[in-house]
Amino acid sequence: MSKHASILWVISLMSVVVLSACTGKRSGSTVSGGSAVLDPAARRAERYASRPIEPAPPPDPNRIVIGVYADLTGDNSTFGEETRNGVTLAVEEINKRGGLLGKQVEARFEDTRSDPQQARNVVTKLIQQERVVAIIGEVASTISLAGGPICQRYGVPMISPSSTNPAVTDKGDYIFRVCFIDPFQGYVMAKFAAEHLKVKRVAILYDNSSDYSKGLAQFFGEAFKKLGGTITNVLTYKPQDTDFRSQLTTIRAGNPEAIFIPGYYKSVGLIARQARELGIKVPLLGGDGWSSPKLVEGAGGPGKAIEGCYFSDHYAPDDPAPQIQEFVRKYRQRFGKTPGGLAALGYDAARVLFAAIQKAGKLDRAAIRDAIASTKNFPGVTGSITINEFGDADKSAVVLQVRGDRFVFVTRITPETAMATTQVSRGRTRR
Amino acid sequence: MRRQLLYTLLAIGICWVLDALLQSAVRGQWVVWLNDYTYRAFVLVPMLFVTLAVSLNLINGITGQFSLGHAGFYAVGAYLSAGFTVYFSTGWLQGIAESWQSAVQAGLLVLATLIGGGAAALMGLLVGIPTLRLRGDYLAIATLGFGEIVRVLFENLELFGAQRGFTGIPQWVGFGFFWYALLMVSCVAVCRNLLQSTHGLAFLAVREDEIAAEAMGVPTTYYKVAAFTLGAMFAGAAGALLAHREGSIYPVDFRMDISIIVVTMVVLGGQGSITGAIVAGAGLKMLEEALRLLPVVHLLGRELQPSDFRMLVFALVLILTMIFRPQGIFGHRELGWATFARLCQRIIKSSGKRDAPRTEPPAG
Amino acid sequence: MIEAVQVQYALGQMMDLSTLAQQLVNGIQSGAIYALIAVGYTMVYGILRMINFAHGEVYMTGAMVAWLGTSQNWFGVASNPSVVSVALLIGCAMVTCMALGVLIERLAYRPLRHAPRLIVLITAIGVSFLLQNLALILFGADPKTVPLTWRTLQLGAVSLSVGQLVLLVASLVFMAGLQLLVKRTQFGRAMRAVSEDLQAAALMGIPYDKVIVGTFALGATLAGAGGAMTAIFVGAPVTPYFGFMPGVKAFVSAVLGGIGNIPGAVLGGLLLGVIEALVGGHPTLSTFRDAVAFLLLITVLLLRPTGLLGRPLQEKV
Repeated sequence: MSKHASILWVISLMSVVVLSACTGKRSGSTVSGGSAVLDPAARRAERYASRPIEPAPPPDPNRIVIGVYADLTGDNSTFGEETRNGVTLAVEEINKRGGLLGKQVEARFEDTRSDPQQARNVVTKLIQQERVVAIIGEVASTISLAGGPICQRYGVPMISPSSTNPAVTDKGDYIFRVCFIDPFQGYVMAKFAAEHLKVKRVAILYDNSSDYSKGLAQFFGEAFKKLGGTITNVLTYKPQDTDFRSQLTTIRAGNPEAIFIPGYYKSVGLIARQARELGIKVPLLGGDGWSSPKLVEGAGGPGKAIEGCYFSDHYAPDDPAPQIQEFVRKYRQRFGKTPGGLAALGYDAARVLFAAIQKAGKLDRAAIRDAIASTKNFPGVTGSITINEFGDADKSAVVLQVRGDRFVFVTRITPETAMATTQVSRGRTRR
Repeated sequence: MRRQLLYTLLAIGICWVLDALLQSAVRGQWVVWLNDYTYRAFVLVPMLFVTLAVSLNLINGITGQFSLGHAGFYAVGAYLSAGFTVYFSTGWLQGIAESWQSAVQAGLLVLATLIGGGAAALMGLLVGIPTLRLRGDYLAIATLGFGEIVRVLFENLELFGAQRGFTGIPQWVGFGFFWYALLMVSCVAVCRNLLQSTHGLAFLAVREDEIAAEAMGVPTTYYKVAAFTLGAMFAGAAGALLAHREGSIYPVDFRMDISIIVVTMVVLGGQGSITGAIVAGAGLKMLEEALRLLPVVHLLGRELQPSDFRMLVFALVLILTMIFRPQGIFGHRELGWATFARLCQRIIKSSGKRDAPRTEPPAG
Repeated sequence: MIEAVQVQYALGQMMDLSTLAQQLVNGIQSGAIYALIAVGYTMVYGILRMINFAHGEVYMTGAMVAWLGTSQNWFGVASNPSVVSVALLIGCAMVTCMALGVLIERLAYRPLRHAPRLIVLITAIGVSFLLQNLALILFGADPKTVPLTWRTLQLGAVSLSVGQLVLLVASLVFMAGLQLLVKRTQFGRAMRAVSEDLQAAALMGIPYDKVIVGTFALGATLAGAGGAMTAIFVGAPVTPYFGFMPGVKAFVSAVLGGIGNIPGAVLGGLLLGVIEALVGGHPTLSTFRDAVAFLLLITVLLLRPTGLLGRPLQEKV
């Protein structure tokens, strides 16, 4: 092929790429992630649309085996580790009290490495090979979105401890969660920024590979604008990136008063570092993806880049309430560390499941599913848990501040205030 | 012509019967370790990779064009067929009565697969033409680059879910054996027939010595591009089936790793040997899945997942094969009907010798 | 999000000189790392006509050693960081990687010295996977950070940290040193001779085995330095797969500049770094940052396969 033809070829290739960049964004129809939200009727319809297709193998009648899938050794390993610890604590507690329905409880943990493909594999394995009664998992919404449909297909109840993207529970009525969802979480940080920090201009830098991050960024943006603020810039990154300076330089030029980074701790630490190195001094804000003992380490250590920054989480370990302090004490005794929000959620998810199994009275997955769905006012460490018709829990959020290597309670924001200020019925973007 | 039609129908029929059999075997758990998970791991996934390996073999082994971007064709087939299904065909299904649903679904699936395969073939064409001038290493790198560009493109297109994955693909492939087997058999059949025809000689000529072939009048350009197009088409069809079986696809499914795994299969089996590609493809994948079933190992104060070892095994297999047996297991040979026939004859002969009465001394 | 206004606004920002200057500096910093790795690729290709796919993993090993050193507090680098201790740590990484490079050459490539190029390519890929997975088994997949931080400097409109400045300067020093070695020393002459024509060089009495091992060692040392410096000065979290993308990008840089050509590799690296920085800062095209490398690769291969500074090749029948 001649030189001229080659040149033509290269030009067309580049234009395809550039065009797809432009058209991709403007078309607005996102396949997953936080699209314009949350028409309740549509959500309900989707949740109850798919029925289990194939029965899962019957569970072992002599023991109660639950499956847990989480990222134990991968990019977000502290998430999986904390979840596992929380579940283990709950399992040990209940076994000490005589088990469930007279049998001992066993938990099987499988590693997803934050890979949706791997997640599908291990969830299928847990259901088919281990024949678990129910499944707890996952932390990351993208991974829950991969594993959820499989649980729904086989009729195995799944409780996600901490996936906050709304789409997760829409995948079927066997999928639940014990945490709040991102439209609320986005509102929380927007309200905090507008009323507590009194800032009017915020830039957003989110992780494009994560349904959670993208969704939260969108919900925050919408809420913040409703509260009268401006979004100066919206840029993205990928979790494998180690160089965020290009995006941060553009953000810096927009002169924001704060930057909202709804990503996972691994990247956030480095982003904070590089932001400070670029001379960006404004506070950074985030979501529960920051909740990890490794956040501060990644930012260069206590008192460094991420010092004084704020993020929303599910509970505060320094909350003086007796139930929380009791949990913190037991966890510290067992694992030697202070439990983070995810550990608390893992603990609560397991206990909600156990209560449901007890209520169902038998190892019948459909009965257990119904029992989970009717959970009311369960006294969780992360707050009172009532499962609503969408499989979600309406809970309050706390805003924590990074001080040294600890996260300190700043304020609590409840769902009632959210309902009062935001309206959430726009037509849902259907594929 | 009629014989070919007969064979085709026979193949379809056998696939259908086996599919029904397997379905009841898996659902009813006839054997203790046979369930949905092991079925997928040890039957479906290997079949898919056999298709990929045999289609790559056409490009790499038979035509000698070193392509490291096979995952790109796989991805194009998967994403475009899924795009067709998700964006264009859900409308068709609304107005159809219940009883016709599965027939329409099957029809749409075939259409989606054709679209996926066609798009991939087109891409194969687009990749084959500009890379004509490149040789050896440069060709390998260019194809690698193409594969990655495709993946990065899909990773950034919101229309296809970007890095978060393309979810919500209707799972019309269902149990899967029938469609996967059909694809695998047709891929092998096409490659084998091609190889044994005059076209096959042309492909081989291009592999052996391109300049000499050109001098002898073989249109090397045509054959090189044809190899890419055909190989890409089957990879794309495989991608389409993957998408419609799993219901969701992620760019991470189409990384360079996949291209390299398929290359390993082709090389291990013997470049140019279809049987080799089948055996190596199925074998390596089954080995990998078997390794995944091993329990977690505790080493160096940490837990090691069995899947950590599988890439290690892969890598070692690759390196050792290259050092000690670079021609692969089968080299250039095939295990075809001829070998099978010879084997039968030998068995018959040896059993015949034992049964026949010894009336005369055996011939010298 | 009101995208049209966003784009306009951001484009305006981009044209702003101070932002542009900052992006350029960003680009040169990342480009310097690509260059360090790229010279390794280019030298090995020049001598052996093979693409050492495992080179990215050598970079990763350098970073892992740096992390190991800080977590085990070698030379007191974590508790009491000083110029000396950091330099020693980087030195350790370089030595380890040099040994690794020699080992790879000895075990995997030497037996295939006379094998067809494709076989060698596949083996190189295998070695790359092997190293990734060994690192996975030895160190685990969770990301590891080196907990050292550096002060920020403000040079006019451009901000950079002390660490990044050191990284930039060190990289340039290394590359200058390499160029000196290749142009002025006997070993360098031997390298050039072997890359020109292996057999002629052998006939002239040059111990080409030693030259080959030396080349691998040299390239690996530089990549190891790059990895260690990235971990220490940039604070990037290190995983076993950490070397893959930089390796590919460095390879593209080498091809861009002309594979086999050392100044070309440096030029290619810097160029790629700057282009990536500019694309990365653009609000809409930002996600295509990684695609830049591959697009450049294809462009170069199609339009000028020998690269910017390479000599056009003739094919002999």
